[in-house]
Amino acid sequence: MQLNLNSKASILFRKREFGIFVFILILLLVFGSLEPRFFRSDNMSAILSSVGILMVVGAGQTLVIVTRNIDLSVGSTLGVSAMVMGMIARENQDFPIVGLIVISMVVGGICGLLNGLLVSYGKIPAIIATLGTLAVFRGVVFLVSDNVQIDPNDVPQGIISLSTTSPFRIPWLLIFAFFSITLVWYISSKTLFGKRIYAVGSNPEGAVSRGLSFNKLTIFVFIFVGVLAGLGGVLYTARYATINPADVGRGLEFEVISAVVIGGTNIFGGSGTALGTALGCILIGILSNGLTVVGVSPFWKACATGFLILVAVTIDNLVRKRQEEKFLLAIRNQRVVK
Amino acid sequence: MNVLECKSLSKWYGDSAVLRDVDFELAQNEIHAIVGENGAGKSTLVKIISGLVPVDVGNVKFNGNDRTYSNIREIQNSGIALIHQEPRLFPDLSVLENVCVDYEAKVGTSRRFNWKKAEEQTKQLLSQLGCTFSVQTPVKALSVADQQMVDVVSALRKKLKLLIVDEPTASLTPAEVKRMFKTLRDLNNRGVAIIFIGHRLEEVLEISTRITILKDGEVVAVKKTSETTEHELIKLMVGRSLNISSRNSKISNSQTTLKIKNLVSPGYVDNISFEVKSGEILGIGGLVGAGRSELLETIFGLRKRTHGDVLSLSQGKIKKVKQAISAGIVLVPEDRAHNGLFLNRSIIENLAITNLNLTSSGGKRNFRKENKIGRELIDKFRIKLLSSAQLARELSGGNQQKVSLAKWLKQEVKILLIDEPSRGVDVGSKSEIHQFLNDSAQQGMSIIMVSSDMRELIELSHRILVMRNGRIAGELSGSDISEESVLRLASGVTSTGRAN
Repeated sequence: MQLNLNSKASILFRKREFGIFVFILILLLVFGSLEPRFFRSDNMSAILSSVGILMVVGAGQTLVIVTRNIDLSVGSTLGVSAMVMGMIARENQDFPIVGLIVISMVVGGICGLLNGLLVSYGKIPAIIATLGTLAVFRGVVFLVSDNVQIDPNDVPQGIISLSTTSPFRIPWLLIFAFFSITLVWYISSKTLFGKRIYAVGSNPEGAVSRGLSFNKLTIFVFIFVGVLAGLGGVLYTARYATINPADVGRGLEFEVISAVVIGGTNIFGGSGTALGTALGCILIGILSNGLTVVGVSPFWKACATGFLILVAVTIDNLVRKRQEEKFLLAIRNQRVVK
Repeated sequence: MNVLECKSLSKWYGDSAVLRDVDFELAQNEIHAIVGENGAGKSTLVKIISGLVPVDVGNVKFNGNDRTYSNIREIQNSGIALIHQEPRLFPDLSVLENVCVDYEAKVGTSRRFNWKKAEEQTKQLLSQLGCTFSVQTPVKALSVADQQMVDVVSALRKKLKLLIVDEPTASLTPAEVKRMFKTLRDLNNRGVAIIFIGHRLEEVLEISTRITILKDGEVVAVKKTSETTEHELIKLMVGRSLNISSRNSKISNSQTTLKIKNLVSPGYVDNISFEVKSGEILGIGGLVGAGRSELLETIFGLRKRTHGDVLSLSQGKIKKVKQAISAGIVLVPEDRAHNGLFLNRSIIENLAITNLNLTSSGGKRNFRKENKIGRELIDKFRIKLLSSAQLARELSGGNQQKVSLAKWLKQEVKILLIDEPSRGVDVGSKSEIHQFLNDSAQQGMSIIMVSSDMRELIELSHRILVMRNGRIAGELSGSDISEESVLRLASGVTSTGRAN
């Protein structure tokens, strides 16, 4: 009887991911039939690249949202990291690639640390703190670069090739994406530390009275998303080969947060899975690319993206509420029978 | 040997002293109860002992050592656990995860946590406490009683020396209270000292070996349980003796004010019909989860119904909350903090919100009128406060309940739906609320009252409907009403064995 209950629970959670999967298939079908070029391999790899970047940042954002926080500054963080890395690469053409990647991640981590401190010790709500740093970091991008963009011939070939090759025949970019998602999956489902992150989001006061360090966990998740946004900066550079101060990472927070929420992470904290976020990123990536490919005007695109996201979340909410009620009811009834 | 010795503890919040020179001793083999009215300082005392709140003056000696540290984690690791009335758990996590979440991996060992071993230990502890649910169940799917057991198990995973339970029985059914008490006694026999805070004195007398009585932040007396009585305790707590209200006399053939016909709200309320008369207090008994609160919510129009009617004498069919209120049907909910009050607004505003028809004109608030009405209600209900601008959050449980109830009474209330009128309420306020319910009924109000407090239910109700699994299991009135008969109907046990 208890086994039965567990499987019911896991089915419930899988159902949601299955729903996103179906939605993705529908999108593929619609875009593919409207515009056959959609399925061409160059377009597919374009989708995969942008999905990869989303996944890397989305993986971090998942843990932030699980703790009842949010990081609106991920786009600007990505921008700062990419710009700092690009400038170093421009000055030192021989700088090792691994070094550049580490620098970008460290810069991202510092941005995250700042956010974490503001939210934990500064006691500023995350939505306000990171709204502020969203603007501050963007300003920093302009300041350090003097509003001069990094051109493709200044970006080391080694960075650019991250989006196309690797020893394993899959581009490094996708390997990083897979790694980030797997890391978050591992943290959240296998480690005690991960459970504490979920605990803080599920009941902050309870967490404090159980001796969990609220501040420490908050700072950790912000540094974590910062580091991943830094990695995202590397991947962005690999993909676009240009770092324009005004464009780099602009609006990324919208896509990332949408992907995480569509992926089933509760915006009020406490629950969310890496797999869900991965699917959410795929959905957003396909949606954004598909609308362009089928020729929706850029003016309509933003509108359509937003609208489809709202539709997806609304349908999901309606379905999920009912399922959750049924599930809880099943447990109640089972207990009564006992 | 004394596990715990507190010497002359004092604690102030602002200018007001919450604890004054309190001495408290606890021996290892005792279950020591702390009683007192709301605001007497019980919770503050145990919060100091468990390290959640720092003490201003005085010292705490635990296990023979002066306790100087103030890190919650350290204190918990030293073997003190506090279990709240509302379990402090993580609803999204499973039972196992809840239990293990603050477990510390030993230094030097691998940092990977051994989930298998933890699961075995947890299962073992749960079965020792007589719990049958799976460790993988998400905690939000458990009843409050089971959640408390999870809380206890979380404490037991560490070397527990002192367990403090703060009103553990407030929302438990009698059977669950029994299980809780058995657990406490078992733990006590295994060498865990226990501090028990309770409002229900009969329970305090049953479980404890010694009782400390607090009043206004001071210790009034420490009594051996075997040498005291409920009456004496009340006298010490309140400083005056309260007359415990007695059963109402029968109501005369008055008019029916509310008819419920075949009401259905899926999953909770299953085809319920009954009537209430003017001047009648109709008690609704049953176990937690039987659908009692949901029944009130369905009548009030808060909960979706798929079938059935609510007919009021004056207004006919009631479907929505707005109609209910204009027909004089009001609800005082069980969870006053979330559903009955605006915790972050002032007391005056909380009292004004239901009386905007009297205090505003043309969509504009009139603060003078709000104040006047608020003052009237505050005086009438003897709501204790520092200033009327005080936030509802800052009031004690009893006073919050009074505000939650009083806010309706400037309107013409014909039918009062009240859910757990004295949950988490001190004896003084409780008797005042009971008095109010009795008086209102005598003046013709119909009252439908859900209560898990058996005594309250039996003493106040003219008639009792007992619910089980969303249905009415039986109706009791007059001399049929007894604790035993309510319990029998609630649990579905008949003299020949199990029913249904």
